[in-house]
Amino acid sequence: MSVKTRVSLFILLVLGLHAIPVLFYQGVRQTRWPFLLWAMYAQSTPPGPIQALTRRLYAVTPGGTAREITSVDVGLTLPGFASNYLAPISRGDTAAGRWVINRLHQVGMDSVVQLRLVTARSTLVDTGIAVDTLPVVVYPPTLQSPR
Amino acid sequence: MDFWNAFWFPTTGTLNLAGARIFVVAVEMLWFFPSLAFQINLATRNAGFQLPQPLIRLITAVVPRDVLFTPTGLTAVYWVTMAAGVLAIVGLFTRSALFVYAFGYAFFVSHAYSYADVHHREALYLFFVLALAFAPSGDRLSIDAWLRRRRARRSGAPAVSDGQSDLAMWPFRLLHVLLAWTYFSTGITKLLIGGLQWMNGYTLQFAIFKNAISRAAWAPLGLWMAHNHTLCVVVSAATILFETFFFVSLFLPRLAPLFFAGGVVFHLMLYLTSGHPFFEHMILNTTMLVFYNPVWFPSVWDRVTAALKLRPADTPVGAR
Repeated sequence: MSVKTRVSLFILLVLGLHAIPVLFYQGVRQTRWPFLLWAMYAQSTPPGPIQALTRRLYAVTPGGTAREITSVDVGLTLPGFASNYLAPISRGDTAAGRWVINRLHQVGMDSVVQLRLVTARSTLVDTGIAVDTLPVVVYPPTLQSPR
Repeated sequence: MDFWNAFWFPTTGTLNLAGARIFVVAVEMLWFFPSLAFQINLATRNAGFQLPQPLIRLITAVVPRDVLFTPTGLTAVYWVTMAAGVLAIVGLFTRSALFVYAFGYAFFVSHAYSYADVHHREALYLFFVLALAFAPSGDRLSIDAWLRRRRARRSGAPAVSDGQSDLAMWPFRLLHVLLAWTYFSTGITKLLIGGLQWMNGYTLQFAIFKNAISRAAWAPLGLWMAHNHTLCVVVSAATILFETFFFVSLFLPRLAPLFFAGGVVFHLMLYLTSGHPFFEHMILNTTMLVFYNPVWFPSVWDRVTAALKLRPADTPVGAR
């Protein structure tokens, strides 16, 4: 087989495999890197207030000490932590809250008994940015004994 | 078949390929290579993978996770990759080094994306580096080429290469086609899913504001731009036009430099306004802008080497 033929097969393979994510759609949880569906930021936004949420998660000990938890603490990427755990916790997803507490215990933060999610809502206004705070989400609602 | 060969395998100089090799590997290694500390943190704080990517599944089918995905294992792979990258830059065992570097790069990116979070920015860079590994990218500007010339001189044999090859263009063509495909894909999905409403200005204002508000430290323009609705309408339309019609550059090569320059500006502005780190696409568009034209870079190189007197006086312009 000549070099050009081998190269041509490589080219066809690389280009052809890009059809797989199109034909077999996986949504955001793609598992075929580097052959991905390129469809980022496709949704449109209707006219209305431009708002964004900023979430901060705090781990609380029985004594009431609170420390901010970041994606690095739980061993995830920032977008992965935000979309898979912070957003669900804000919606009251107890499984997400339980996962975070268990993960913090696994990495040595045994004294954590509660999570507090503080969400700030920023709104574009003519004079700048208006910020207000949404109700704090607490998981679990009642304090447990530390492990 | 004639059309296929004419498009993918025209005879051209190998200097551009060498320049691209040095540029893409050096810039990525110096500034944008996956962080070892980040990789170790992911591996040590997770007992397993959440959504393993294909390369990770392949590796863990042979090597247990607790053997390779440890601080020691990851550090070893990292420094082997770095060594391969250095060899690829200086051009020693060039193609093997490029292959090892590409594998190491793919390993770390695949690993990072095996924890329920996947992004796109590194994919095309990997394909281009792999293509360089399968092309004569060490034929010029390399220790390998110097060693070949020295062996030829000592044995009295004629020069081993005239710096021309019909395998020197296809990596650039492949990158061009992939850029056209990926930009078209993102553009057309915006139109199919978001519709023309995607260009209503509110969509871009929201997208920029959402990212800039949490990254105010490095997205200074974003907060300003999000306030400017009219500007966002204009930029939205420009984004759709750029992405959807990038493929036109495949058929109108004279327009290609405009699209590549536009790509650099596009991703630079994405970073400054929203913090999206598509550095690899900046590198690749710059590579196409500088090295795709088979005439421009060699002529600049000849002028520079002549000015620096790095070329023998009797060497014709364009020759080695």
